Amino acid sequence: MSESDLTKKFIAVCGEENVSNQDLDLIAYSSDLASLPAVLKQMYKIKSPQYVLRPSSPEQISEIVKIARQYNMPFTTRAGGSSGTGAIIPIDDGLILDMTKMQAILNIDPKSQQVTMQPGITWQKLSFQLNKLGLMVGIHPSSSPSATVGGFISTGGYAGIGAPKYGPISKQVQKLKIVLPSGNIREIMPPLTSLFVGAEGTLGIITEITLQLYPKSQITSPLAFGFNNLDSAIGALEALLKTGIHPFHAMLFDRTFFDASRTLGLDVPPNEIVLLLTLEGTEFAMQVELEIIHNIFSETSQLDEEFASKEWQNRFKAELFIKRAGPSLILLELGIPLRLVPQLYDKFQSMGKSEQIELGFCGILGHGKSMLCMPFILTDEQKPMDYLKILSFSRKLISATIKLGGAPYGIGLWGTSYLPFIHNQDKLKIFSAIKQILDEKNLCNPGKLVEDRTPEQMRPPKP
Amino acid sequence: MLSIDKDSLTTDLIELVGLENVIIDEIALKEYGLDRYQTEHTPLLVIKPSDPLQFKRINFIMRRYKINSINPRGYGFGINSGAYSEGLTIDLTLLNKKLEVNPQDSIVTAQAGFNYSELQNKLMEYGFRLPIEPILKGTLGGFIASGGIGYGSFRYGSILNILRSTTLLLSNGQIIQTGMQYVPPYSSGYNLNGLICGSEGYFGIITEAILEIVPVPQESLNLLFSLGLSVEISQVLTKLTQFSTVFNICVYKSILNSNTENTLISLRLEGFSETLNADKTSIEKIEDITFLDTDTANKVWENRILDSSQIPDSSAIIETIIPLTFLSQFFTFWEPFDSPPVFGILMNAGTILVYVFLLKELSESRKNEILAEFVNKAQEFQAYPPTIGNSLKAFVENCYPNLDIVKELKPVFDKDAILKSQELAF
Repeated sequence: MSESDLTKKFIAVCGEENVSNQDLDLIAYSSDLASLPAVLKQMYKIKSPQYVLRPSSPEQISEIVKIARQYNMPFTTRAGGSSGTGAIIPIDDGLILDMTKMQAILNIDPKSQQVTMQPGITWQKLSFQLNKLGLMVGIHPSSSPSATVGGFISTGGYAGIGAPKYGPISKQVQKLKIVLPSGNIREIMPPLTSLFVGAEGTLGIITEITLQLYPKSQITSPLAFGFNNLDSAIGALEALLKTGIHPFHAMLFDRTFFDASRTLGLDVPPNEIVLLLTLEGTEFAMQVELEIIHNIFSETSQLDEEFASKEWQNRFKAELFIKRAGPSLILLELGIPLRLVPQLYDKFQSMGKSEQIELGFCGILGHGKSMLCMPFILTDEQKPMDYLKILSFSRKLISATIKLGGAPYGIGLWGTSYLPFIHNQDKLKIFSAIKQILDEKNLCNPGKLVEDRTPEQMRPPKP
Repeated sequence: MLSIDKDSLTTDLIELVGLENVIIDEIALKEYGLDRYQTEHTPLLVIKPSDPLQFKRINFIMRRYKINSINPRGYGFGINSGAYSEGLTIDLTLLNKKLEVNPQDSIVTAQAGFNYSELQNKLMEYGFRLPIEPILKGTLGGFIASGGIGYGSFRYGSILNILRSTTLLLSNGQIIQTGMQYVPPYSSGYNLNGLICGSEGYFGIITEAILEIVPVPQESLNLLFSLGLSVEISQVLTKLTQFSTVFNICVYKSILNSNTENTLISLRLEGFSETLNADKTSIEKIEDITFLDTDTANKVWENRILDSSQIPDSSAIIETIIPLTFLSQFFTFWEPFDSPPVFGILMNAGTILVYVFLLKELSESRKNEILAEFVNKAQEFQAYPPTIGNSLKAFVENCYPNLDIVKELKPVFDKDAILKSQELAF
């Protein structure tokens, strides 16, 4: 089929304004939040997509998938583009489905406390609408202004604001409408939803989502505490969790994070480690919990309330702040049990010292006494050799995390070669078999999660 | 199955696990053929392994004798026919030795045959517990395989939400972890736990599980009250769900107190005493509810793990999940059938797991007529079974969510369709 015939087919499905094969569009949709230097693109043999499509309904997506199957065209879904694992980078030529047109809230049911929406809505927009009705979501990512609901679900969503109290996103998902790689539209209910949560768009395209909701908290209390080292901060956090108090949000920052912020002229505390703790609930419950917290943290320096409030208000901008000090930023997201965070931090620091690379750290308390650790390195992608050196170093950090019992949060394109270090061969075969059954043509976001296309020179060291 | 050299098979199995752990006696085998309401299935043999290392050998023997139907089983106290069997039954209740409590990471690793209540008691010694508990006496593996909905599901959902991983023995002898041990299994490969919860052994045999545990709450409070006859039950339940200390909500209709037509509701609040008391005061202000005394409320909670004596003498039990918004409609459906006893347990996200007890005095034909009518109407109140092992096969076939995908994925785990090959053949 000629290109113009194919274009006509897509236009017939989505409308002319929602189909593009213009170079500018194709380039814009060829990367995610992380830097993608040309040399890396070459190594992974990443091709540009042929079309960017902006569907607006499950039926349109189903039609697109059927055309893609007919012409063996791979398809990759993206929305906010706020991830950095490469999961939304189309690596074979094919289709990009931009889901940002699909951002309607389809139903809010205050009685059963559920909301049904399209996947392209950002968390911030969703929260705004729900809050007006006295409702809220249990968990949302720290990139809420740009991250979409579908994107967070596809990437696993176990750590985020609200996770320690309300659990991971998989607990909140009550229904997914998915266009399977066959083109069939299906409603997926728990417990099967958990197979699709974190599947990074490799098993189908999420087109509608139903989430559990909660009564909107009456009050949110941000608190900040300063520590001399990470051990004391983690110790305090563990003592807090032992009481049965589940903070709504807890985030740790190290000195390097604040040094980077200082270059932007922001006021920062003098402590080595800062813990930002946010509680939410009724005013009465807050009073009870605050009293307990003040007892636990009695020997810790509490930072002034204005600082805590400011940090809470800026919770969606942490990454932005440090990126500005870059110009480029390599930021990893690694899950690890809470107790191992100081050990991992020390390991990272000593690895950084031996390679003369300075790295900073922040971490978000996740579900199940785990922490999403985010070590970061400021760099400049315009200097390819330096950038590659740091990229190679970052892979050593991931290996060190796995060795300690942790795992990268999100596999995407860049993390596929770590899977044999995380799962045994029999399990990996099961992953591939599931993919094969649901997507026998391997057109649904190929090269991600369960398919390893890592070039030899980029293979990570064995943990 | 008839062509199997049963004597030789028995000898091989006895050699592996010992005489006392292979059941060949016809009467004892018949017992194993019983779930609560199935009586016509007798397993070929029952084997009781006590060491996971025996599974490789069991697998070898199964293949040698070309056994084409294998059924894992715990206590067999379930009410949804998950446990009955005609092939080789593997009784997992002796697999109850390994227990590793890791308070630092708030996880526990335990073998599948652990009695759930005993496991809870052990965890309590460390100041921890599993925040979801089965309604009936059972094993850890059995609870996971039968969907893991129970006390605490209002706050925590199903056991899937606290399940890090299961060790799953596949029918080809391979052993996989379905999740991950140290971090929640949501972001580094497919999370297979959701396929295992509620699968009744369809994909593999759970031999061990790793679960998240939580500290025992500082304080708790049990409340029990009856609803006025004119009260809209779902409205009261919706009000109750607004209180942050609510840990569990149960609904009883013609159960607990058969002298009253009023619906009873039991509530368990957990948290800090000041907050509990504040919530209690507000709950007491809800109109048209009458509180029963505290002793009774406490007793109901203490005896929450039901045994046979607490279950109405029934010829069939319907187990279904329905949205709370359909609860009144659901009760109305049962009125022409003499409103049988109902027990319900609230889940998260506005749903409720309901058990309807069809009493023994019903004739067989009337019972079947009622069951058929229920299956017929189930979709009207969005009812669906919590596991694929429901005794109402037609209910599973019509209403179990995503049964076709589950069936499609079966060969990934069990290529030759050996596990539950007869019982769960759809």
